[in-house]
Amino acid sequence: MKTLLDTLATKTRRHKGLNLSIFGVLVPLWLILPANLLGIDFDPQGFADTYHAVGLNGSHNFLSSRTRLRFEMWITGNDASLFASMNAINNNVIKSNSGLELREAFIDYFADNWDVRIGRQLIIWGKADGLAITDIISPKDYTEFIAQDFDDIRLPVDALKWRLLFEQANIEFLWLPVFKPAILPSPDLPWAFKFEYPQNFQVIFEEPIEPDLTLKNSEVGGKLSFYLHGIDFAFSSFYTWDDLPTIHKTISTGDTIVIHYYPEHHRLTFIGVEFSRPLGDFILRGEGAFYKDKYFEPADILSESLFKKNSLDWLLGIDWTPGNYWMITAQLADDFILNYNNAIKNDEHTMLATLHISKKFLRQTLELSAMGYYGINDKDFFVRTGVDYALTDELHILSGIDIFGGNKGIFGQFDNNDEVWIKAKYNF
Amino acid sequence: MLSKIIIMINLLLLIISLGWSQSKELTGRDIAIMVHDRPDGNDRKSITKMTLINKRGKTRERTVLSISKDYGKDSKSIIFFQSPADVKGTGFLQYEYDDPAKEDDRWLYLPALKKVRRISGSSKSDYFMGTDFTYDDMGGRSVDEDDHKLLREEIIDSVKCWVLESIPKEKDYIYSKTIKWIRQDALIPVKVEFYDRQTNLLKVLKITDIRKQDGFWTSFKMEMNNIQEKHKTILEIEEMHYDIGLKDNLFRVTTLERGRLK
Repeated sequence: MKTLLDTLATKTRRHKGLNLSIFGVLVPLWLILPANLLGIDFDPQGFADTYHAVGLNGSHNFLSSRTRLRFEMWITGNDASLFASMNAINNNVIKSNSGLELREAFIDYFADNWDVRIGRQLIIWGKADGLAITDIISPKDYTEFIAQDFDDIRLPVDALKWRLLFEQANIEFLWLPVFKPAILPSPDLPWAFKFEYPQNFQVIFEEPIEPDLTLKNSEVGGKLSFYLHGIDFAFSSFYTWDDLPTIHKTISTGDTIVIHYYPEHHRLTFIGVEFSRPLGDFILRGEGAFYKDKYFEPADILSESLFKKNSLDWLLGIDWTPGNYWMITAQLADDFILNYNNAIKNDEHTMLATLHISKKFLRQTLELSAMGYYGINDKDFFVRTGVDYALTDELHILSGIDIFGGNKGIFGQFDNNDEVWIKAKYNF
Repeated sequence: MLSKIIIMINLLLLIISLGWSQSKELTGRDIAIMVHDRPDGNDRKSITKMTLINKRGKTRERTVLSISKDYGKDSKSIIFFQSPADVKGTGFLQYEYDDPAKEDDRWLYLPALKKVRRISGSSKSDYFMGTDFTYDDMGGRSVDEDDHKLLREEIIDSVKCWVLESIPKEKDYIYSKTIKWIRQDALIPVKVEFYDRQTNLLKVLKITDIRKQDGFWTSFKMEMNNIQEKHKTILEIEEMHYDIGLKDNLFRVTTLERGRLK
């Protein structure tokens, strides 16, 4: 039987194939730029990496096994650039991810006091590390949960980004004409999310409802950023679609009870603020977002009611660089549901703490690091320890162990996914 | 034209202050100030190759592009790594303030994360990208962070030098003292000895190619030899230009985010 996660994963699988349509727009645009812009500088670069993770529990299966060739090129003129980034991937665990992929492709144009970037691009907001408070412009790929580099988790979006640039500030406007959902793993994959539904009734899962491709369904946002002596801060707002669908359901009672699940993406708006401030050896940083009309599931899995609430998500973090190549970062985050109702599945506050420690040795060719996440509500955790050795400046060998713990919660659900991993990366 | 007039005035003031100081006997601090304030144009752009050589003779190379511009006694600078491939595009923006009470502003851009982050002003005594130069060695140290003493004068390669001893005021600083042989004509050291906390010789810097570029004395080749670790770094300036009229809008976080100067 097709499960809900099947339907979500089917709908949100990676865009396979080179998807050259974006070039169809970008290349002519590049060519019509005034000829005097084309003091062209061609700059190819990229890397090849291979990553393999074996489970430490049970049958020691591969939880990840992928090899990738990334090719990137900048073609730079005096006032404009064209950038493209392509992946050739062989994934032995998530077969559907194998193939060629156009990851980013955009044109930059720079004037003295403004610039614009048009095309497929990663857009990153916020000051958090490894957590998303306002960093929701680029949707996330959860096919390997967060057991992969965070820069691989973000998905590029087709967007126009226009900025007005001032001496100590800039204003950014975003327009995303095409909705792109987050990618969820299908239930047969090692990193599938646990989804609870009643086993004793007939259940029907519908395909997720995504917004149509119309101008009205565009996503738009803006950000005002300041870079002042001793502090950076910014205000932002984004009128978007929730990248994760809300699971609606109807329950019909007759001879047999039938539960219909209707995943649907809804509109979402946030107003955010972020800051970063150095204090001696420390950097204090934080961000907060007021989310309007977010849907929350009921605690009772047989209830049809969803709760539409506002929420306040915030994060405070501190970076400490005491010298001698140590780096220590701690963060505390909270999702606070306003006007809380006890029938909501989530707690009123969902709190999460992170700690990252790293140190470099041997003239910065060897780095040991540990990144830990702790879910305060469910007492679950995830710790990734790693060693990164630069065999040469181009070739890095990495290895580590990921440990999950807890009985429930976002990390606890992967308690059986403890793994040891190895990675090699060659930059060119 | 204006920049040439400013340079002339600067040189005139330097000569006057030198004459005035020498008539009153030049102190170590006077020399340190002259070296610190050596004329180097209003802005500058350079490409530098760094060769790291370990005790087995194995070499690693880094290339950096840097630009900087003065704003009175303050300055703004950007560094971009051009090689090796694993750090290419990494950028570093710094606003340095003359006022010691005013902390410098610093931002780092890592292309893999596509994100600019503010970094603290600490770790200036850490080595820069695996080289034998600390951030402070590369010019990030203010005159009054050390006590300076003129030890003597010496002739090196037919050029008159001051021999200047500098002792850090900070008790647990990585060096207990440095001794510099400073060319009197160019106001550039030809040799620097760095002593560790136990007062043992740690590193020796030799500057072997000093000449004028665009009218300004410039160190084109430096070799830092870590005696204790038997590791050395050769720093060669491949391109150097002064007073090229760099625009103010280059020294912004948005330039870092582009990962390049264009």
